[in-house]
Amino acid sequence: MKYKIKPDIAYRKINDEIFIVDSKNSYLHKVDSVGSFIFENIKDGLDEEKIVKELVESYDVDFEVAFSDVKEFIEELIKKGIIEKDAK
Amino acid sequence: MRNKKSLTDELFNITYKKRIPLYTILEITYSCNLSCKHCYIPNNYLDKKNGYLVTNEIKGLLKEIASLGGLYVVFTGGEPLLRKDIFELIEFAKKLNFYVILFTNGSLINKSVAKKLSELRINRVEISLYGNKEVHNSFVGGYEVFDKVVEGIKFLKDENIEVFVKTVINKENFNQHKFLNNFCKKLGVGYKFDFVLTPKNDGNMEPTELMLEEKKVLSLFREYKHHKEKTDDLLSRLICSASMNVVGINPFGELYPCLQLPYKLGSIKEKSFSEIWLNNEFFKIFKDIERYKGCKECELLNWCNRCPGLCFVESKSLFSCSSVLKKVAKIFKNLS
Repeated sequence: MKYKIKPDIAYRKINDEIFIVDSKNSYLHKVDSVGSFIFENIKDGLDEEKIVKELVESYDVDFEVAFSDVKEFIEELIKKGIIEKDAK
Repeated sequence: MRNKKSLTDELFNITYKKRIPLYTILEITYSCNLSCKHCYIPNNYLDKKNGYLVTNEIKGLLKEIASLGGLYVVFTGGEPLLRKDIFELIEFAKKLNFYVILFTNGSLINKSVAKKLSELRINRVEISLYGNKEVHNSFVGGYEVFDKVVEGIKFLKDENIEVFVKTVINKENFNQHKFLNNFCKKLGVGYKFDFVLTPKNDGNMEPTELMLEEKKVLSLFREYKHHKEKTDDLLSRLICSASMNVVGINPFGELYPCLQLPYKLGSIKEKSFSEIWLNNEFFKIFKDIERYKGCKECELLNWCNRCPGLCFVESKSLFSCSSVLKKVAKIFKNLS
């Protein structure tokens, strides 16, 4: 499954962390360096499976751990209205 | 992932320490279709149109600011909707993932403008309103725009755009505060007010003559339970974020620590934004606490919202006092 960042979201990477302002209420969110890695891969159009693969390779973690981290993080981003499913 | 108010402080502190231009206020034109009585832009600036930054120059500027970590950008004026490339600029800023805010007088927002702003995913529109029809139209120079502004706000709301109404409560609209508060509630938009009026950028004090008498400000603040939090940190009391994580840019591409502080850091027509921003040493002078001798001895220090811009405009010195600030500090002292 592919996801995309909603067009009204504002964000910037500062010090390896990404600060995100959501559009609903202008709340500020911060994602840590692993979250930023996943977020940037979503931005670059990678699907969930490829993001897990990238995470395994870049962070030297087990597939199961990476899979659950990516899934959980994506669910959180969807819940907060930051990303959505990319129908393309 | 965290979502707390403290995050705002964290982002502010990181960008302040690293001097990242987090918040950019971009005046894209001095032209305006109205003539508000308190406007800080000197009258003779309004006709200076030669030499404004062109679309591509502004785009280049936004790109640089984004690469340095800028997150919030305000398009203001004059009246920014008078620029023909305003939508192109907003679209470009959104593509760079900025949080985009538009400061406007609201009189040029019709259904199609609101729709366009929504399509561009603008994050927020802030509109100035000074009272009911009669008061507003008089305050903006006698132009019959109140109905258009209100209609504009409704169009924006229909498009689900976040709208804030802003006002300055002054001698001419003191009795309008309740009206504005209720009116905004009815419209379902945010409302914020201030009572501080600043001199024009050329030092002309005329706008400050409209400032409320102390008694009226006190009643206003008591009614709305505003208060000023005390802090014992002298540095934070004396030094604002101008040139630290805030930058102001005028229509000609001149950089200022803040639009309220007309101390020119450089021009992007001569050097790149990064070159000016990263090499300017203004902040070192500005942060030199030893220079604030008068402040350290002032009995109003604990209540003063020190603004170097106001000091500079009034006396051409960053470290001197400002009559407006003194008046405001006295009010806060009496409130405490």
